[in-house]
Amino acid sequence: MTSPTQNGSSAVPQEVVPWAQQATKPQPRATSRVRQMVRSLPSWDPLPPGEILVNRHRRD
Amino acid sequence: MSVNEARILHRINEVQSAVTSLNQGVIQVSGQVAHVGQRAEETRNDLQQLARDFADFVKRSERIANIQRAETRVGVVEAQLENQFGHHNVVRRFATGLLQGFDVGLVSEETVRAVSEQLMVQNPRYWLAPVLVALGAWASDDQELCERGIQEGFRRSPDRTSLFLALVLRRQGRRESSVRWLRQYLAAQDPHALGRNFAVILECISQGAFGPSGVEIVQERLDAWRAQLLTDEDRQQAQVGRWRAEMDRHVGPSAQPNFPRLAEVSPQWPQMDAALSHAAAHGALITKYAALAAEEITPQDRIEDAVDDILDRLVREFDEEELPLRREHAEHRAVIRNGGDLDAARRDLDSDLIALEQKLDYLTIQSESALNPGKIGVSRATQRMAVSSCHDWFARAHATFCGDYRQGLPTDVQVVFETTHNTAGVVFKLPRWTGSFTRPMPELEADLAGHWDRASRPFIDGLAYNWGRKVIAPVVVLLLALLILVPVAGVAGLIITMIGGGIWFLVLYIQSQAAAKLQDAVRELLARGKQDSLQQLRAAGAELIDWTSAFRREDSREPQVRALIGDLATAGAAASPYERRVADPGAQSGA
Amino acid sequence: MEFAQRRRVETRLDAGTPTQDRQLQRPPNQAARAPRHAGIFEAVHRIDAGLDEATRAQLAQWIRDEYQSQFGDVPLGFFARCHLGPPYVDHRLDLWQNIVEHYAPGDTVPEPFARARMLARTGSYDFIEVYASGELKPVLNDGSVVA
Repeated sequence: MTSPTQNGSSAVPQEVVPWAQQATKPQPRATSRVRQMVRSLPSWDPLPPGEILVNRHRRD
Repeated sequence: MSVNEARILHRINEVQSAVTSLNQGVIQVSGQVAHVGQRAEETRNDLQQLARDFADFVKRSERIANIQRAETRVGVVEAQLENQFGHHNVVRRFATGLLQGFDVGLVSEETVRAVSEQLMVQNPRYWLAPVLVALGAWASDDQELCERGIQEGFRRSPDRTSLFLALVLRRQGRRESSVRWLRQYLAAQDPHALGRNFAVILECISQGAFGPSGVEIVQERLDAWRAQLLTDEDRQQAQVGRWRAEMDRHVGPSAQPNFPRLAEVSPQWPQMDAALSHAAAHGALITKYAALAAEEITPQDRIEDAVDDILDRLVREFDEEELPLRREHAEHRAVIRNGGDLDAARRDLDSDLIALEQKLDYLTIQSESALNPGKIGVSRATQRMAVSSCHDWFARAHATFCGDYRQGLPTDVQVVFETTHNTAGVVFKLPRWTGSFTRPMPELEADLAGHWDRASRPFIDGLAYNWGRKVIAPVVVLLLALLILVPVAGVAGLIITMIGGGIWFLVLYIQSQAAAKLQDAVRELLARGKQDSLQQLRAAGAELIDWTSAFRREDSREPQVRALIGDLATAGAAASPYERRVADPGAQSGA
Repeated sequence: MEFAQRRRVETRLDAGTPTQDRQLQRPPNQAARAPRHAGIFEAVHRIDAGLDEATRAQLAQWIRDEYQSQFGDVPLGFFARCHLGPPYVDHRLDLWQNIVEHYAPGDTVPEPFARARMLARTGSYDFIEVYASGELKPVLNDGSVVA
């Protein structure tokens, strides 16, 4: 589930940030964010345990 | 001078000089006392300084002790971390590499080799390891290994495994599968406490990042959460109540400037005004929500950045198991960095580790997104999706809103003219008149006119010149004069009497003319007052007709609002243009 | 995608046309809010249209039973706009005393029906259910109830 939120030591004073816009400290990016697709990937997809992919004509 | 006197004098001189020297002594002593006081002050300052220096010394040595303690512990903790979780860093490094490979569109053999099955074995509890294995297996077309990795990753953390795979698969264009993983991610969430990652996912969904099928599948889960969180009627009513407040916010202003006469004379005006301004809410709601429904919301690039931020976090954040040690490590490092100052160290901690992530329950998220999006910082697209989810409460609140203001309509509209309604009324002390607009206007006018006449008649009649009474005195006097004077003065007496009588009657005549003129003036005042009164009545009547049509016009917009709410219910699929579906009565039942 | 949409509509329809049993199993408040179906509308309109007392009594009985089984609560009666024309504007149907009464604007209407007058007069509702508790539930043309 979600990561623990309780802070053992005293609270860090924070300004009120809207829930949907909580950002963390800006970190250096892990990737260059090119967002390309890998072409050599097989036609099947990793699926959640127990699910089967029924191949349809349309990819939605 | 005798000897004794000289002796006495001498003694006095002695005493005098003794006193003088005593005085001098006192002065000297006081000077010394002052000197001592000054020294005491200096001593006190010195003592304070000494105390401060001592305190500083204590603080410095405390800090040095803190640093020493921290330095000792840091080494120990680092060793423990290396020992217990050294492999985790390796996993994270490989994860970054793999993620980079997917990002640039090329996953090298080397990278795949690195994420061998060994990784799962070496890191028996870290969720990221088996997921990497699965992705590497996917890239190298090894379905069996991929499935094993997924089973294991899902077992260790269904939440993070699902999220990671959903986002990676989406980037690789495998939309349908990503949506399935999305469904799993949502199933793993606790609707009572949703955090930062969910906020981003919600935005993604509402902006169409997972397509319309994504929206539909998500709606199932959201419906289930709603049902789960709204366990009793009270909570449902609370949500309906929030939407009722939204209706109330759109109630229009008073229409008094448009119906001044009616407002003045009708005791039912406040009810009528309230009903009209409430009916005006329909128009306002249509304006607001039609705009929301029709808006072409372009997805923001920010979303893709937010998705990448989540991916970065997933491959970098510490596993739950490591967190206590990691925290301790960071605390010690902070103490060293801040020269042993514990307070500064606490403030300086890396926020990622101890971030007080704000969590909200789903119901709050949905309501706030719909009604107060700025407060929780969601986008317009999310607002629209939330309003769509709230359509049932919206509809119920709107229906009761309409029922309530309609019930507030007065059954009968009356008109009341007080004594003070015009100046003539005051003058004539006109009693209050009440009429009801259920009667036809000619009837009312006749009644009002009759009222005026009845009230003013005594007044006017009272002004009439009473010849009868006035005449008695002069006639009596004349007769007496005649009886007395004529026998005495003969014709002269008669003439005098005649003249006297004539003058008297002239005076009376002038008086009567004046009275008649006054009467006429008053009659005219009355006529004008009555006319003004009737005009006020007619004006009020005309305004009532206007008001009624204005009310009907506004009130009849209710079905439009209901249709709009029905439209909004299907507008959840943001990316695709939605069709206006005819509202199915069966579908509108309380869900 | 179409399949999924269809599936969604179907599940909605399922929820909207329940059997009698399913209605009773729902929480009482939800059952009370369920839409009034065409049968009820027909019955209410027929009572309005001047019948002999026996038929009226029968219809009233049927309506009472329907309400009890479908919605769990039976109103005292109904109040609606009158279509007879002037001088009448509203009328009242009492389900228990089997009365139909018509009113002109100036007439007084007995409580608790009186409060439903203005609701009826707006023309937005087909009829208004009046309950012994004093509660009023307007019913719209499509059968949905305001509650």
